[in-house]
Amino acid sequence: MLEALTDALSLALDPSVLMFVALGILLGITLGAIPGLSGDMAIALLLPTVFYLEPASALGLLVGIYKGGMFGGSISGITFGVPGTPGAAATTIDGYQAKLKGKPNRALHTALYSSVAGDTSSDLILIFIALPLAAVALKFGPVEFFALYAFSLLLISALTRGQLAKGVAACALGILLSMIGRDPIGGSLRMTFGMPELAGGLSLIPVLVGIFAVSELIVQVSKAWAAKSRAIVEDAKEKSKMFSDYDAAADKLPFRDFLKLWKATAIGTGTGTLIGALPGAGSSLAAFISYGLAHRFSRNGDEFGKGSMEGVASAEAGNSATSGSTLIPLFAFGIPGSATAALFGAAFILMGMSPGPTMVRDHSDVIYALFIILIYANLVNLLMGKVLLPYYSKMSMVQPRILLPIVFCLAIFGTYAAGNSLIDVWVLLGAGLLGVVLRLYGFPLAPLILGFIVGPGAERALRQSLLIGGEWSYLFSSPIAIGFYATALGLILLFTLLLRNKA
Amino acid sequence: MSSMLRNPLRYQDFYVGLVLIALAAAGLLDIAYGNWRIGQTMGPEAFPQVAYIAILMAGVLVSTNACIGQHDSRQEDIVSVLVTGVIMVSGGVLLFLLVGRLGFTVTLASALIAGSSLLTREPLRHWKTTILLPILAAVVMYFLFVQLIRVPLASGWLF
Repeated sequence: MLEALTDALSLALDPSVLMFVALGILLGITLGAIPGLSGDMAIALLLPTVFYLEPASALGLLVGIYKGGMFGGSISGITFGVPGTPGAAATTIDGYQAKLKGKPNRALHTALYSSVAGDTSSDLILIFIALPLAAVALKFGPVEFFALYAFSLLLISALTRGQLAKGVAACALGILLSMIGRDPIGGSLRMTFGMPELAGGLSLIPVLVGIFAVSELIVQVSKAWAAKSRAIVEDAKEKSKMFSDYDAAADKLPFRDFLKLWKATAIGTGTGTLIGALPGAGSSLAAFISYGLAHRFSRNGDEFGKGSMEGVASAEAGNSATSGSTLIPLFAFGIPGSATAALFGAAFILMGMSPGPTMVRDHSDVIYALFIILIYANLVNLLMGKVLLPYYSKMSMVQPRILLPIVFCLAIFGTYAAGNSLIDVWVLLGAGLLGVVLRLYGFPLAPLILGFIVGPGAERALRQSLLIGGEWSYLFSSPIAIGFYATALGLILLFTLLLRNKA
Repeated sequence: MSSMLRNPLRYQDFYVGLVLIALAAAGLLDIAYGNWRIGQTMGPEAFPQVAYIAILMAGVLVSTNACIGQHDSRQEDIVSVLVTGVIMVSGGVLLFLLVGRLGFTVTLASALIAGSSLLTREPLRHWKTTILLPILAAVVMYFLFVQLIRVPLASGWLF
């Protein structure tokens, strides 16, 4: 344990790792601040780089992008009223009103402080919860694992966008995509359509980058073509003139003033951490529920929606507090609970680690290093935010038309570079088109990715269970498994009611 | 009851449900009559079969929901996004094929200039971002992919 910690410290505190964290935060904030682009897209695009970097550096880069992207979304939301990411939508409600009332600096600083506070608390919960849970998960057999897979698949399908049927269909589609290639137990070929290139199955990177990044790029290019996004940017430019004429020095937020917002920040942190740990619930839902709860328990509830700093703090803390806890199912059970966790899971796989309880046992130095990086990345985010906040709002004015063709070419050549395989490029483009069709017809993408990643594991667990038990009722032979099924059904019912209230 | 039931043919989700049902039916027929190795308790066909059944049920639910007025609102720009998607994917294929003819940097710079120009109102007026920046980006990507990572790409006539 002590030896692993010492190794982890030397890995995490390497200057090059620190540099990659800072670079990642800058990249994440830039992409998060540009409406339409996101930290997830950046992580997907940079996945191939994990082949060429040391594990700690690669994780530092990805963690930086993730944390930067979380906060970046609120910058364009507060400055221009256009949330850069879905999670920042709740922050925009009061943040933009505060800006219109001449308090943009206070709103941005409140968002920065509450984001860092929520994020740090969530990371600490991850560190203290994931390891004991992983130790418990080591005792799971195939029946418990299948119940856990079913729990996650059900929950993420039902909660991601609130429409159960489309979530289930997307999830099943992801499972089918993961079945292409050799059957993991018998070795026979499935769904290869006579193409020997598909015998090895679809690679993770082209599917992830295609579904997340390429499909989003296609939608953004279409918007730019239709001059819609240009209108947003023109509008944003116009509004930014207001902002650049503004004397930020006269609108400071002393830290003691932020401390007065502790209740709203604590509500956001607690809610976000709890919701983030549930597969499929997501940062947007966490931010809105945090905002609603803070509104309910605030003495100044009338100010909500009119530029309330409590509103900004609760929403932003709720949004950012999902960042650490969303990784808990990935570390403890090997199940990614969100799109971002799926991308981190993919990064671990590419580094030769298998996400789940054995990863913590077998690669403790890298995992402890990641924990250290998660904590000090928040500090770097805070320091960079304090210094660069006046410039961050200008980043959200970068016109997408400049970046879109470059990012598209990066996606193509990055994917090719990861496997030196032409078939990967065709899979990438095919997955991109599939992602576009699913987006257009209202299918959530996260269940598809989760289905693709956990499909083979779920199949293996189910078939092993049936080989051992001989009949389907064996799946309900374990109290833990029954607990997972019952919890999944209970949570789906609870969140369906909550989502209905939110709507 | 009559007020509850709507004309489903008006709603996009009704057709989305039908497509899901057709996809699942095709998959299940393929498993039943195709070249699949069938296992006793649970063979390689079983899990895909479960997935197809889930898609079938989801399709029925989506169509049924559309019949009672519960559906996602139709996106107005479906055709333009789909056309953009087809054009971009074709462009991606062409880009990769042209690298072997024209070389990495020239192909990439041309593609980036074409892309930026198409998305800009007056491309020549904004020459810095539509011409200069793409050329710089192509050079940077050449150093990144060809010189640094050493991605094995077919060499073209140029470089």
